[in-house]
This record gives sequence, structure tokens and C-alpha cells, in this order.
Amino acid sequence: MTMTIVRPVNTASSTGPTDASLVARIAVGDERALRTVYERYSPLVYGLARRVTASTAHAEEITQEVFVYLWQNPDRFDAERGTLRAFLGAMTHRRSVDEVRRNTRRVAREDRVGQDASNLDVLDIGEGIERSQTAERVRAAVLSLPEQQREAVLLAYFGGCTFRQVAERLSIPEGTAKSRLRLGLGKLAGLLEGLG
Amino acid sequence: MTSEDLSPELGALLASLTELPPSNDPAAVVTAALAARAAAPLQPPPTDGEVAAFSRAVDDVQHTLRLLSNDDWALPAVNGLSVGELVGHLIGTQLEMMVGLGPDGAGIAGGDHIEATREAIVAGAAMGPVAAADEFARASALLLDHVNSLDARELEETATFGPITAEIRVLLLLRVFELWTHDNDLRSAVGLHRVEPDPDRLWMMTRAAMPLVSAMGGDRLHVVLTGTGGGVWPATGSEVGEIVVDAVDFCRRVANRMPLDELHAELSGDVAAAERVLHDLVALALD
Repeated sequence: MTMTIVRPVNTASSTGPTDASLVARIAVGDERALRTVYERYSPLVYGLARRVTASTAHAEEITQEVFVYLWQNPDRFDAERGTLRAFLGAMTHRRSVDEVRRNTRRVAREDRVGQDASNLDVLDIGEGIERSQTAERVRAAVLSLPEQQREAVLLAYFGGCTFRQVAERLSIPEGTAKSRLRLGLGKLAGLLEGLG
Repeated sequence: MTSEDLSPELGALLASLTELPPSNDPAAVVTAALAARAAAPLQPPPTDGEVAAFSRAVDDVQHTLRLLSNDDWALPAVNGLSVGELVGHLIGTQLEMMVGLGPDGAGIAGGDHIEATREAIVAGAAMGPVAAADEFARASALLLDHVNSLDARELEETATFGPITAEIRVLLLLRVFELWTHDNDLRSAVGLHRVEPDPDRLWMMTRAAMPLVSAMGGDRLHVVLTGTGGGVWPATGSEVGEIVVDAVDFCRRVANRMPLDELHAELSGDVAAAERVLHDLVALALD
């Protein structure tokens, strides 16, 4: 019999250990917990890393780095400040962007993203991907943004662009790029409130 | 601001657009993780020993005793003992251990732990808090002088304390359990907040208790104690289940101060076997 219950028994849960519990286990050296976290979140980490780096090899490398980092630094995760999903996602994004910037093919890739940023179909977000209900809502939210804001958000997030680079790609002043990003992110946050 | 300033929550939500099954071998990731950090707690092991841990436990009790007033003395504490009687019991236990471990001691008698100190319990009730605190300090100083004089080999010698026969260093840790437990009994009786052992003490307490847990059937369970003083105790026999519980809660359960229905633990595998071990933990308590 394999099941997980959380005492008191009358609050039994079939959802398995919580993320906070898993990280607490990692802190005391329980490698099983690392496996569980990996099973739970490696699709997210790998998928994001591959999207940003456009490289299977780099995505695999970043995936390993992210989970090794969590194993070494579980105390960096604070369940009161956000979810483990958000923590790993942010770390993956940061490392992926760093990788893109280091990569000699960065310019070519940014060009492709820049050219296509205004067209979600060309960007092909989600193509061939298992979409969760959450992903669908996020996708709908992104799609609902005004075009200018959507361009800026996609360039910044998936293109790894700085403000200045977003401004250059869209041929707009930096202040305008900043404004579009803030407006777009603010709307997304409002649209997605309650998710996560 | 750069794209890195996107809120982590929003970043993760956007990332959910891009979930893909990774091609990494999970075992390889775990191997890489273990190469970077061994499967051990982040908390470093204590650098001092059982005598120092016992000394700090005594300090904690002494601190609480100095907070007690005459009005507190007759308040009910635990196991039918008043605050004053419980303090008397603590004094008696220190003296009994001193005599038992002393140069001419023949070990500490087994039997009922509370009844063995009945005389001191009565005396404690008759003292006021100031006199009792002084008496506890005096008895503790005698005992600490003695255990501080023991070398490593002598600390490994076997003695009996109440129903438990073990090495003296282990008995000292059981006393650390007892002092912490009764310290909180006193504090609870008079409305003071709970205190927990320092990380080093907790580390030693869990490691003193776990062999006993194994002997109760816990050896077939993968036990993970989380938080300060925690660690991982893999099953030594064929594994049937898993228990994950906070280390302090575990210690409170061992001390019979955490009812089973209030204990938050994650149990998996053979849940009945895991529950049985948690149920039986209180057998390790001295009262």
C-alpha cells in the first residue's frame, strides 16, 4: 500500500507531501525528497529553459543546475514568500537568460524572437506542449494584452531582453519600453490573480 | 529593470506555457546533487558533547526557576504534581543521579522514576521558589562537577537510570530530554511560553532517541525528522513505510508531551506500522 497521510488523521490528504515539507526534507539530507521535487517540477524547469535557450543541451544543463542548487541551498526557499514552482521558475529563467547572453548565437536568436514577437502563432508558444488549465489561462491572458504591451512582455521574458534591448527591437524610447512592460505585467498580474 | 525583475510568481505562470518532459536522467541529477552536497543535514554536527548539552539544559531550568513566585508554587503542573513538587522532583533527580554515578555509586536504582524522588517532592513543596532554586543550583553544581570530571572512556560506561540502562553519555541526554520537558511543564503551569533546546542539543537528543525508536520497530521505516536537529534514518531492514515529522514535535512525542492526534506527520507506505511506532514512542518517556 502506498499512500500519504498527514496527521491529524482526520485531515488525511491524498495530494502527497507539500512543497514546503519536501524542501524541509531536502534540508536534512533526504535525497528522496529531491527526487520527488524533480519529478514534480522538472517539466516546468526543462520546458522553460528550452524555450528561452532554444537548446536541448543547455536546457538539460540548466535543469540539472537548478535542482542541484536547490539541494545545496534549500534554505533559500521561503514558502511564505512564494511557491516552489515560482522559485524554481524564476531561477530557471534567470539562468536561461544568462545562458542566452553568454551564447555566441544570442544575436541570431534574439533577431528571430524580435521579428516574431508580435505574432504569437509564429512564436509558437505552447506548440507540441501539454497545456495545463493554468497554462491555458496564462496564454489567454497574454493574448488579451494590447499588442504593444504583449510585444514588450514577450521580448523581455522569452527573449531575455533588457529594457534597452526591448526599446531597440521595437524602435521606441526606453521610457516607453519600460512603461509598456509595466503596464503589461500589471494587467497580467490582475488577470492571473489567484493562480499559482 | 530587466526581464529578471519580472515577479517570480508571474515568471512561473508564464513558464507554465512551456512545460516539457525533460530528457535528463533523474538518477544523474541526484548523483550530481550528492556530489555537490552529501546526504546530510545542512546543520553542522555539534562541536561539544553530552556534558555541555546537559549543562545548558540545567541552565534553562535554573532560568525558569528564577521566574517562579510564591503564588505559582501550588499551581498544578503535571502528573498530579504541583509546581513546587515538580521542582522538588527535579532536585531529587539531580541528587539521585549524583549519588548513583559517584565514585562509590552502584548505579541509579531502577523502578518508578517519580516515586524514587518522593522525599524530595515533599521537601520541594515545602520550600519556597527562592530556596528551591538555590537547592536545584547546588544539586546541579555537584552533579556537573562530577560528570565534568569523567573522561571519554568513563562516559561510555553503562549505568541505570529509572527503567533505562545505557552509557552514561546517553543517560545524560535522556536527562536533557527530561529537563527540557519539565522546564516546559513548569512554564506551562505558570503561563510562560515554551522554550526549545538549542540546535546542538536537539541534534543530540534526536540521535539519542532514534536507536530506541529503531528497537521499537522503527528500523523498518524510513524516518525523516525535519527542522533543527533533524536528519534521515533509512530503514535498516526491508522498508515498509515512511515517517516525516518535525524534530521538535518528535522529541515532544518521545517525552509524552505531544498527543498523537495533535502530531502532524506525513506517513506513507504501511501507514499502520508507521502509526504504531508513533503511538509507542511515549514508552520512552520517563513519566
